[in-house]
Amino acid sequence: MSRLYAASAVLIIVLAVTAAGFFTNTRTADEIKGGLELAYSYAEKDQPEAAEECVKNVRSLIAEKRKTVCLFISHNRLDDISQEIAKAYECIAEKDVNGFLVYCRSAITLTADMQEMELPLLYNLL
Amino acid sequence: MLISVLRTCFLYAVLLFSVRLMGKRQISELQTSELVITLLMSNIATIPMQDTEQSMLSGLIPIMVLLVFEIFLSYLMLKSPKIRRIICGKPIIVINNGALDRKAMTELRLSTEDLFEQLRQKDIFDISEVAYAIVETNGMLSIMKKADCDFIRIKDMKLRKKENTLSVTVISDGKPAPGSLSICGMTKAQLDKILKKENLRMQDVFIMTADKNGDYTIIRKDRS
Repeated sequence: MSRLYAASAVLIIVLAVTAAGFFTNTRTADEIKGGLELAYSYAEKDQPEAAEECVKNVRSLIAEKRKTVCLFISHNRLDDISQEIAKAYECIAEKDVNGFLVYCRSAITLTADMQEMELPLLYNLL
Repeated sequence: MLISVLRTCFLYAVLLFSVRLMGKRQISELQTSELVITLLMSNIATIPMQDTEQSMLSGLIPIMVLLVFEIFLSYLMLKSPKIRRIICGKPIIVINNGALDRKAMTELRLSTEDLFEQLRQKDIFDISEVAYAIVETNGMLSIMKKADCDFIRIKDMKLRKKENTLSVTVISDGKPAPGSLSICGMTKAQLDKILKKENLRMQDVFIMTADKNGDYTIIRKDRS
């Protein structure tokens, strides 16, 4: 019977960690996506300074959340997003709005993928 | 590299804990579900050990889930023979009252060579000695010999023998084994008395075993 209790305790821990991972991943991806979409809309409205500021905020957000998010997902996922954001930042710093839009869209897509991969959907399961 | 070493140490501890929690069973006696779980666990554990890009939780969580499954499933199998039969199958008689059951052997995909090999491993070289042979759910073969080929037992000869008692190690490498004195019904004073009688100090004893009948065996340490 003590094994059953131990197994139940392990199950509760597993569920707690899984839920924590799911919510951390979802929330972080939401914040990154929100920041990038805002930067994208500023760039579209030809406001590169505001877009640059937004991207800067997203980069510091990633740096801040990195340690927590990497507990739950592969490091590569976040690295890929960071790379795209770094390229977008370079473009906007040089006032290359078109280049920025391409990299920013790519980063948004990768972030959406990162969020979706944790969702219990059929195409993720199969 | 350091991360791999640390992760390996941690996952090793987790696997040991998991196997310990699953319970004692010899490797050769693994049931189907246990074999599957053991193989899966060992494979899953290697991924985060080698690939430091993967989060360790991605290896740890599946191991824990498998552990929980195994314990809950074994509990369900204990409570419900139906579930046990679905998961583990049922023992199948391949030699019934001295006759080979070919249908059962076909069902098990057990060739006569395989059967003879398993019989030889049980020290049976003549199939006519076997009354019953059963393939257990873990794949092991259990044998019941015919009465005229079986060993003679004490009770068959109507003899009386002193009851066997458990012999436990009371001193190991010069140190008392904790809790063993009470198992063999001996007190510390009695142990000291025996050592005194044998003209030995505790640190001179490599192994001492004793049983409830008061019999004991002492192996001294080499003085080379």
